Amino acid sequence: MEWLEVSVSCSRELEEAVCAALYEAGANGVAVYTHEGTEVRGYFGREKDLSGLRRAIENLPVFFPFSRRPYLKVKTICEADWANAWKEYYDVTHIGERTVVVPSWRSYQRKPGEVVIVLDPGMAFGTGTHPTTIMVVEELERRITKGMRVLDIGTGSGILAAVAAVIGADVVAIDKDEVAIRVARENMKRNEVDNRVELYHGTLETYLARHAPLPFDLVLANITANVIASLFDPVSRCINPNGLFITSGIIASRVAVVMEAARQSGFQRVLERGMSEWKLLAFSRRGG
Amino acid sequence: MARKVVAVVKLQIPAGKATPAPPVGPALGQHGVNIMAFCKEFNERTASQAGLIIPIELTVFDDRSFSFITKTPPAAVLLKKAAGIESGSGEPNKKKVAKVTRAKVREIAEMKMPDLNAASVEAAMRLIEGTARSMGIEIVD
Repeated sequence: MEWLEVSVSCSRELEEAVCAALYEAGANGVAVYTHEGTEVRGYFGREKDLSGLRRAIENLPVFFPFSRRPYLKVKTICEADWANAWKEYYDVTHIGERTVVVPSWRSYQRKPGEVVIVLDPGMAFGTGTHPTTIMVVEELERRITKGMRVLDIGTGSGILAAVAAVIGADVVAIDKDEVAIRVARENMKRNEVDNRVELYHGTLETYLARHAPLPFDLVLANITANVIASLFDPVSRCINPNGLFITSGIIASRVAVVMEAARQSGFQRVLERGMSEWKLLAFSRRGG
Repeated sequence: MARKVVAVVKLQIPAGKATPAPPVGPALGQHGVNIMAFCKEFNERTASQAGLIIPIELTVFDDRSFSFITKTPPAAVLLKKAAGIESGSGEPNKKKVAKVTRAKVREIAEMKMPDLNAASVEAAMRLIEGTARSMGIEIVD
């Protein structure tokens, strides 16, 4: 995909007015660089008519008479230029006691006892470097036993589903993002667990409406507080009475939102852990 | 060992709606930041402010980890809210679309003082007034 990058070099006092002009032209967010002078960048679709924006920028000195004249330039940029740039810095990551996440473009010699996950997250969530993922992986290492039935809601890159399946679980992994399902499918193949992980594109509600799964022993949701809060009701319909619902991706200030939703659906908190400002909460229907 | 700062990036993004698309992707990708990890963190931290544009200052460290702080809303957003308008004028010289009082401009200037490169509140007010006029908003006493 290609974009028009409009960058406006200006004096510092024009920064707010340049941002305003970019927003008026329909920019969905801007970036401001202040290394040597000020440069404000906004992005538009390739077909965008920029004549109104050019006029607005050229007119700015009328309203800031003592300022240097702003200078606008436009170039076309391509998604591939930035989408892969971070991969150069994404290295083999050891998490938990024995899990090793290996980017698919790196090589790694597995040591005895290690759970090695080969991963290319592409443009999907989950690389194993974020506290929210690390905490769940640690719980999986402790809790997964062979043949356990696991549901991973919002699987993203499929990292948690892959860890659970490599340890020995049978997994259903769902995501409403089609890109995530495509990326996760590749990652399951890379780890040779595609026969142990059923991938589904859609929400938990639609999955349950079309399938009648056996109850799950462990349900995972590493998403965000609001989404997690909406999951207790459907999860209550597919979790084993002794099952555990592990939620992560919750920032400390949003814990109350999740707790209230859990209470309304008859779940009790049996575990709370934190790493930096992130929380992992685990619930069961039976209580501690 | 202490992490070394390799870049500081200023971004303005709609609350709860960061995606790998520009401006996030190009700004972070060039510094090796994991774009999706940033989006997840930004969206979770700003979910309760939906509808607002949130400026942030993002610091990138040499191990490619990052942290960010949120700043005051853009002057354009505050001015439009004060004037009760959805968008500014396409021809601000000729067509005025709203008015705000000088007292309101002072209020916005004071709120934004920490983020503006202004020596005094009066200097900050001149920046806000200029931005207002460039949007077709008149300043009245």
